[in-house]
Amino acid sequence: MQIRTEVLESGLLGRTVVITAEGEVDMHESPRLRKALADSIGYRPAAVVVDLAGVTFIDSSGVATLVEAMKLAKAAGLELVLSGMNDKVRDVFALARLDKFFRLAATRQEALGV
Amino acid sequence: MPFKTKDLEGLLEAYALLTSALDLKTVLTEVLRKAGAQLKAEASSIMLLDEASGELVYEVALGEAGLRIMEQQRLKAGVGLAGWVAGNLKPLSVEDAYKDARFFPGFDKKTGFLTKSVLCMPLLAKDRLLGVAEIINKKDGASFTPGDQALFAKYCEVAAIAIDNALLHGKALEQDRLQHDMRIAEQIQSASLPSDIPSIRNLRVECRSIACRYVAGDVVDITRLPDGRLAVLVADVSGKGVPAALFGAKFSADFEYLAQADPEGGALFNRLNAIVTRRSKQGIFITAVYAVIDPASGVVEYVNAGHLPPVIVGPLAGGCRLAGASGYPPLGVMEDLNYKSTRLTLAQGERIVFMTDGVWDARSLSGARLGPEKAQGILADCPELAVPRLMKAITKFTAGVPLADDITVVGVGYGDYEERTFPSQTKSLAQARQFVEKLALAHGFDDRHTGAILLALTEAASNIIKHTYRMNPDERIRIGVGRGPDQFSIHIRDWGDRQDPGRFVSRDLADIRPGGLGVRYIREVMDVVEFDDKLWDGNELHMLVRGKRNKTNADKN
Repeated sequence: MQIRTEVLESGLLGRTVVITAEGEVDMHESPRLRKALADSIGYRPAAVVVDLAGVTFIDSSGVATLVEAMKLAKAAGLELVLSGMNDKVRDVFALARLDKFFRLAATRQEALGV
Repeated sequence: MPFKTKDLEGLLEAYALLTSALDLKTVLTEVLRKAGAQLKAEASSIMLLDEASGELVYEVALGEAGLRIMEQQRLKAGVGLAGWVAGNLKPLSVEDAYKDARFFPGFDKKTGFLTKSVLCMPLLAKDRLLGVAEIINKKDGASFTPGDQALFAKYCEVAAIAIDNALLHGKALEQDRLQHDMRIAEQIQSASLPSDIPSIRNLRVECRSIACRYVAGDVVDITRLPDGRLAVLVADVSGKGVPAALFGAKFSADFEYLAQADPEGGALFNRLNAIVTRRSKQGIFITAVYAVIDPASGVVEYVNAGHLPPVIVGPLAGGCRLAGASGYPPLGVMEDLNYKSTRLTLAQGERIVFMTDGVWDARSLSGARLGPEKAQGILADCPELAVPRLMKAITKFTAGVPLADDITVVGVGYGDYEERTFPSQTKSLAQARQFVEKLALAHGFDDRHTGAILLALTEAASNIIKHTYRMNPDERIRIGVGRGPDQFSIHIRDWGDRQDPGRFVSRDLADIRPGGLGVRYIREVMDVVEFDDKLWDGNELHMLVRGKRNKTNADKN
């Protein structure tokens, strides 16, 4: 899995951290995603966008990592948006009825409101 | 009877000996020495009862004639004053031994000692005779008083406790030793059960065994022959427990040796029969079935020596036939028999199941027998899961009843099957997905459905790495994939501690929390999920998807 983190100072949501993940997110990889998310939230932006367009596989450890991040974001009063999920990844969220729990955007652009 | 302080001091010292780490002879000698000194006796002795002969055996003898008395060693049952005490379990005080008809003067004659007054006591543990103690001749020439008798009785209590403790300790040690031996025997036998079943493409091999006592008389051997075929032996030694296991172990070694030389069933059984017949004692014999299975064609060549006929189930649910018995008697019954192999062909998706008669003879709490029809019904119900389901059914059927016989089941499924073994490391998850993805797509699942299957696979393998192996990276996980006409199956095997099947009960959605989703996913994606805890050396999770239907959440909604 590749992870890239960018900070956009002037998004529509305010200062936004965009985490771009690519590849497979499983128990082997999710600790890295977890760290990237915690670091981003600790940076206290207005919003965090997790761009999952390049993610080809996600398992429960990946989902749990995002659930945890969502809770942290809520507690910190910032917005967390997941964007660009393909059907297979979306199925994993839907199977756990978690698609309603997250704010989802079809694309990164939609998430950023541009 | 009140005792003097001096007497009590001696007794207290004697009691203290009981908690010492001294051996029995030393304790008895000390007790006797103290009693003799306090009661001013010229001689004293303790004899122990030899339960086998009923004789009294000298354990300790003190005084001038002590050594010579010890040389006499034994006193026959009922002989002498001690013999009378042992027979009547009552104390005896005699003023002049030579005036008592019960006295046996033999020892005096041999030793030159002159017995006069005697105080003789039974040594008892709850009315059970352990031996007899006596003190002889008061030094001042007087007789032993009732006070002496009471005091001596107290010393005898100490001696009896010491003897009883030593006997109990000896029995406990013996018991411990036996149990230890049995545990080792069990471990040796477990180690001889095939754990590393050879991986052969197109053959799914499963083996399960339950011993009725610690060790079993069932013998299993599963080998890959140099030509790539699979050889399976399932045998049952008549009788049970250690003797059967020992005979079976020797048979197993002979089999291994002879099969290497010539694995052809008929010739092999002829040679084994000759050996077993020659070695058989007390009518011991062996029923056995041996099969050589070709993974390329499904051809099975088998020979059956008085064993249950193998059952063939599948390819679809309900399909069941018997591999006809070739009608040969068991090994070890008759010399010069000519065993011959029979041949049959398995269809793709069929599974041949070998078992010992412990399966049919398994009994429920109400005394009902499992029987062949029920066993075959369970096997045929889901051919892909025939073996684990049969084992589960037997466990359920016999709940609360000790098994009357060993149970061994070996199943060999023929058809599209492949397996790979991965190290128990998180980085193996991606490799495992690659392996299964290729087969799922080849089976006809679309990309999305394949993704769901890979999710279930990843969750199951992650569970093993995390929970069963507790992140130990040096273990292994074997993933087997079977592709039948109407199903796709994944079997995930580990060699870790037995896991609680309850872990695979799906959680309520409301209970979902980070890390608790895996089982839910597996249940959502797969049509059949069965946790198999009937292996002797690990666990296996069986997951089936029926047909090639696309099954995602979108379909469900």
